[in-house]
This record gives sequence, C-alpha cells and structure tokens, in this order.
Amino acid sequence: MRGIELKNLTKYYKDTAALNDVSLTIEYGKIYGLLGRNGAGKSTMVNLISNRIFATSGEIFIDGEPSVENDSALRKVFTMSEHNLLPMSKKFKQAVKLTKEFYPDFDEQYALGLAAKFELDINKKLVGLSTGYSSISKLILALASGADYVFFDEPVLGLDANHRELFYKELIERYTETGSTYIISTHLIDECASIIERAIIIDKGRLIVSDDTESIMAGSYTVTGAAELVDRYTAGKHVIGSSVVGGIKSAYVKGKPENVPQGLEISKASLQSLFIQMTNDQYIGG
Amino acid sequence: MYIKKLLKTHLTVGTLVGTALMLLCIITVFRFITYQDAKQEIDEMIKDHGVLTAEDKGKIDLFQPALLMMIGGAFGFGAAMYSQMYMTSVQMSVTRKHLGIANIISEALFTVMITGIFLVGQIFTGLLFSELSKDKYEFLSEKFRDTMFDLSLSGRSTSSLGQNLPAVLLLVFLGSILGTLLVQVLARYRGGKLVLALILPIGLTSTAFSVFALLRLKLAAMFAVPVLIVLMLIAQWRMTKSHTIELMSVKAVH
Repeated sequence: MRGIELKNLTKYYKDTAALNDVSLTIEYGKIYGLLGRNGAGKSTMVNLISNRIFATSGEIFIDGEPSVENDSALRKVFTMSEHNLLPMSKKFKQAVKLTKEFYPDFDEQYALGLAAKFELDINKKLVGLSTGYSSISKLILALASGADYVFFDEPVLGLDANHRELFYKELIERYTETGSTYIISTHLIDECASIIERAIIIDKGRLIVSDDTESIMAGSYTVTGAAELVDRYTAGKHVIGSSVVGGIKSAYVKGKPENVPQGLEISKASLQSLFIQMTNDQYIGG
Repeated sequence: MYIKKLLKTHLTVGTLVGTALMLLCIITVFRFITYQDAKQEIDEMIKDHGVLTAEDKGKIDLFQPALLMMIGGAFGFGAAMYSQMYMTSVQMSVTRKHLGIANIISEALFTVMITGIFLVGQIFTGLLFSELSKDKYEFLSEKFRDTMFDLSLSGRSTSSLGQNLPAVLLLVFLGSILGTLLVQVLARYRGGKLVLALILPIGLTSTAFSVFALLRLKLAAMFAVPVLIVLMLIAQWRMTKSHTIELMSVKAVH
C-alpha cells in the first residue's frame, strides 16, 4: 500500500507528551493540511516521520517500509523546515546542486525556473537572504525535490501576498504534474483551505480529525442569531463550540440544519472556524 | 553512497585549503616567536657568561604551543564539522549510521591533513633558523626534543619524527573526536550559547593540558591515548545513533 502509516505513535519530552498514541494514514497522491495550535505536536509529527527525532513508542511505515534509519524509505520524504539546515555559506544555486546529490529525482531546471519566477537571486548566499526569500529558497527546493512525500512546515512564513499566491499556484501545478503527496503544516488555514484535500487536526498531542476537508465542513454548519434563539435551536444538538458578540451568538453545530426557525441564519462553517472551535479548551469532541 | 556525498559536500577544496593555510600560518608564526625568544635568551646568557653553562641551559624553558594548537584546531574542526554534517544529513534525510561513518572519516582525514601541515610548518621554521650556529641549533633541537613536541627541525633531525609522529596523530585525532563529543553532549543537554561559550574554551584548554601531561609520561601516553580514543569513538558513535533535531539548539557552533 502506498502512503505513510503511523501506528500508535507517541513522543515524550521528559514528562510531556508531544504526541500521544497517534494512529493515522497519509494517503499517497493527496494534498494534506496538518493543522494544530502552537505546541500541538505538528512539528513533532513531521520530525518523527522524517527520522529527525525518534519516537518513544509506536511505528511509522513509508510505503509499507519502517522509516527509522531506513534509507530507501527516507529517500521518499523531503521536509521543508522552518529553520534552514543547509550550510548558510552556500549560494542558492549550490544548494540546488547539493539537493540534487541526495535526491536523484530532483528537477534542477524546474528549481531554477521557479527561482526566476520568484525573482530569487541564485547567486546569493543563503545567509544573505531575507526571511521571505529564505522561505522561498526552501520551498523551491522542496517543490523540486521529486520526493513522493513533501512536508512543508510554515511554507509561507515571511512571504508577501503575491509570493504566497504564486506558491499555492505552483504547488497545485506541481501536484497535478507529479501526483506526489504534499503535506502543509500552517496556521494560515483560510488561505490554503481551498487546496487542502484532507485535513489532519491535532491538539495537545492527540489526533482530533483526519478526514476529507469537504466531509469535515459538510458535516457541520454555523447558526447565527439572537443568543436565546440560538440556544433554543441548538438544545439537544451536537454543538462544537460557540461565540457571542454583543447579543448575537454563533454556534458551530455538527450535522445538517433542520427546521430552522425564522430569525436564525445558517451558513457553511469554514475550516478555520471549525478548527478554532475544535481546538479550544471547551471543545466537545465526537 | 550518502557517506561520500556528505564528505563531498563539507570537505570542499576551499574549506581544506583555507584551513590548511590558516593553520600553517599560525603554526609558523608561533614557532618563529618561540625560537626567536629562545635565541635571544641564549644570546644574552652567552653575553653574560661568555659560554652557555649547564645552569643556563637548565634555565631555558621552551613552551611550544604548536601541538596544543593542532589539537585545538582538530577540536574546533570536529565540533564544527559534526554540527554542519548533522544539519545536512537531517535536511537530506540521511541516516545516523551514514552520518557517523562520514564523521569518523572526516576526523581521520583532518588528522592526517593537520599533522602534514604541522610538518610543513616545521620545515618552514627550520629554514628561518638556518642562520643559527651549529651548537645553538643542536641545543635548541635537543631542548625541543626534551619537551617531546619536536618533530624535526628543518628535516635535519629525523630521529624524533618517527618516534613522535604516531603520538601526534593520535592526539590530533583525539582532539577531533572530543570536539564532536562536546557538540553532541551540548546538543543532548540543550546547552545554550552561554554554556557553549564557557565550555568550548574550558574543554579545549583542559583537553590540551591533559594531553600535555599524558605526553610527558611516555608510558601513560602510549596506552592511555589509544584507550581514550577507542572509548571516545564508542561514545561518539552511540551519541550519533541517537541524535535528534535538538542539535539545532547549538547552531551557534557553525
């Protein structure tokens, strides 16, 4: 079976469980959103899959092979980290050559073409790049890596709106072309909600949801109106969370809207609003 | 395959030539200063007494920092190289096993290189002192040999070279391994920059002086240094195999 499988994955840092008994499958050929609040365990999960850290317990399989210290399995994974791990004295064009050495399917021409689109000076040393261009240099290497599973950890950090749009466009094009799996770990949920096919939401080290984005959103809705009216309507329903501004209340409800009384407005819940409700402390899972 | 790629990435011609030139300059300058001081001291003693008496000879205390610098250089190299190789291997999804092997190879290569540079430095220094009279030259050579740090002076005396070269190679290798170990220990215990700033010079100095003491006791050096190397290599290997991204916290070393 193609895909990455996590089985009962747990990672402790001393007494703190960064990831707690997580089991899920990342299917091949899809774009994933890896979502979670700060410290939820997203980076831990990515680092475990990339063999950067080792699990306290549990297993990871990449295309059926155990990933720990396994060259052939790890060759299928490329991770763009928030930090730059390449020698900072290298020029971008040298970083391209370097990556090509380790990833045989790396597309050098594509990388250089993309650098031109982003107006990245390939003769500039990595140390001299601004925060935005540092992110751009890393995401170009990731997109061109040719790996089957590409992880992006905050790929648009420091990018302006134009560059962010260009990145999303290029990501979709690359995905269409290669059919590889792209996993985006980001806090900018609304921005990438339209390109994410499946979402993995983790909170406090535990897996909350791993499902198609459409299914997650289709299974919930927002009801807005006078607080008293909303409370009456949602009584007995599965309310994920709510917010009140002035006398107006918005409740996020699981299921399909039915028999909606006058004075209440029903709308589709956005992925971001669902995420916020699912990961706040009052979330009632299910 | 990935071992070769890691080495190719980090042991570039520019890095090697740059390091070699830097070390060569430092060693030659330090040797030059040491000899110059000694020569001046001898000249003054001869001026006072007409000849160099046995008492005078006993007073001359030569301090040769060259070997300490070689070990120090290897220490720094070990620390920086491991740190950089680790970062690259993490980004390129290279296993710890390959990283460990590449690191040991780089330590060995650098040991040979650094010792070779030291020998060239010796020859340069010897040439600078070809002006010395035979008796002064022989006295200084003997004095340097007494400290066990003399490899040869301008190639004229080769007897000590064969005797001391294995010990020098081992010590430089040990320095390099200790450098790597320091980074690994700091990484594991999440050493901050302050700790790093304190431990690096302290570790470097204490290592150098322990080695200095060991070397003065020939027998101890013959057994202790190889045993230390084996132990340190085992420790390094075990640390490499279990190393994780926490090494990021000591990025300051490279």
